[in-house]
Amino acid sequence: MKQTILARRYAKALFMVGKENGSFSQYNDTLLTLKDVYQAVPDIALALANPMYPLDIREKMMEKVTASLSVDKPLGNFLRLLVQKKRADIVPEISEEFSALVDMENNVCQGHVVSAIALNDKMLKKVRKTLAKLTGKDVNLTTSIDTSIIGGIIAKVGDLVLDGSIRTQLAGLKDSIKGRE
Amino acid sequence: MKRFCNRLSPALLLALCLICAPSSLLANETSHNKIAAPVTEHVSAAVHESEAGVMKGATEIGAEHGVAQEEAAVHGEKGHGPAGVITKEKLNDLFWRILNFVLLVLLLVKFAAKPVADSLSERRQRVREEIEGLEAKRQDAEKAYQELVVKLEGIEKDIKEIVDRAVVQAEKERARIIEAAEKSATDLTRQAEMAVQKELLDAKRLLRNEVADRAATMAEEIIKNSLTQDDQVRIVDQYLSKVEAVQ
Repeated sequence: MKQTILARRYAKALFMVGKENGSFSQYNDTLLTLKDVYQAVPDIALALANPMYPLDIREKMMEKVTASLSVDKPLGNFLRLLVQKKRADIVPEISEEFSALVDMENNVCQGHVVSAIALNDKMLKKVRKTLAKLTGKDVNLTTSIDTSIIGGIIAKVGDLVLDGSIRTQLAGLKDSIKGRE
Repeated sequence: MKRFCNRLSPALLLALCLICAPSSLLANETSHNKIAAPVTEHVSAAVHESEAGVMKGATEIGAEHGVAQEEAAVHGEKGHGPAGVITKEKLNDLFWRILNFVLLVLLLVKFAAKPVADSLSERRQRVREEIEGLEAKRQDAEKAYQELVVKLEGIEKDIKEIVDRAVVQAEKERARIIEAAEKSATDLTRQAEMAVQKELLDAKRLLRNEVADRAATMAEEIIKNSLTQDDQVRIVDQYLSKVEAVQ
């Protein structure tokens, strides 16, 4: 179960520290790396949060991880605190919330575009420009290809979804035919 | 006293009959003897004359014989008169008989009068009661007959009323049944129409869905086959332009 509210509190505290010392971007990169590690090796989260293991052992394990990532002292203390509070398993959620805070600080949002064919740079630039107009923020776009949409694009930015796919238009056409008396 | 007389009257009548019976019997016996004696004498005289040898005509003999018969009849008439000879012995015998009978009657009156009278009175009472009972029954029967007659007239009237009521009720029931049948028929018709309408709508919907599905499938196939790279770019451009225009 995702601990979104709890993770947001920890992320907000860490972001304030990082903002004071001007290293929240570095923290963000470190947390994203840790998130990838958690997803790649799920046993790490289990080991760090399992109360059957002694606390000092788990702290030493987290120190080893932070040492391998060459994090500064505040972030190291933050991660050790998570182990002590038995919250080491919500590091991925904290990373997501921290990225959102960083994007908000930088006036940037994350977007994803699905298309039937690979979009060239010109098209991506136009899509980014359009989404930036809609959201009022710079958009970092990721792309994927799905031929089932037949044509057009499906763009998602936060809660905003722009569906201009042929598949959706055909579905609308079919519904309009069915629904007409 | 009257009751006593009533009781005694049958007994006295019986006694009188019994008294008269021996005397009449005695008188008959006496007259018979008187008739028989002259006839015998005439017969013997005729026989005696024939023996004397004087032949007379048969008519004379017959005449004589008729005279003899007439004389005998005269003698006979004389024998029936109250001047008959009754001997002292016969009177004595008659007296004792009467006395005997009177004693018998007295004894009967003494000992049997009351039971007989009671029996008769009881019989009379019973007969009277029976007559009264039968009269009462007759009156009851008459009354019942009259009541039955009245009731029969009333029954006929009641029957007529019942028949009238039944007819009225039957008419109402007939009207109700007809109304219910008409309502049922209307309901059935409406239900059938609704069912037909529903089936029609379902068929239309199914047909429309089928048409829509096939049209969408055919359109998808056509678009997939005819869509080029330039078309894809143009579609994206048009969509983005439309979104910007909405903005």
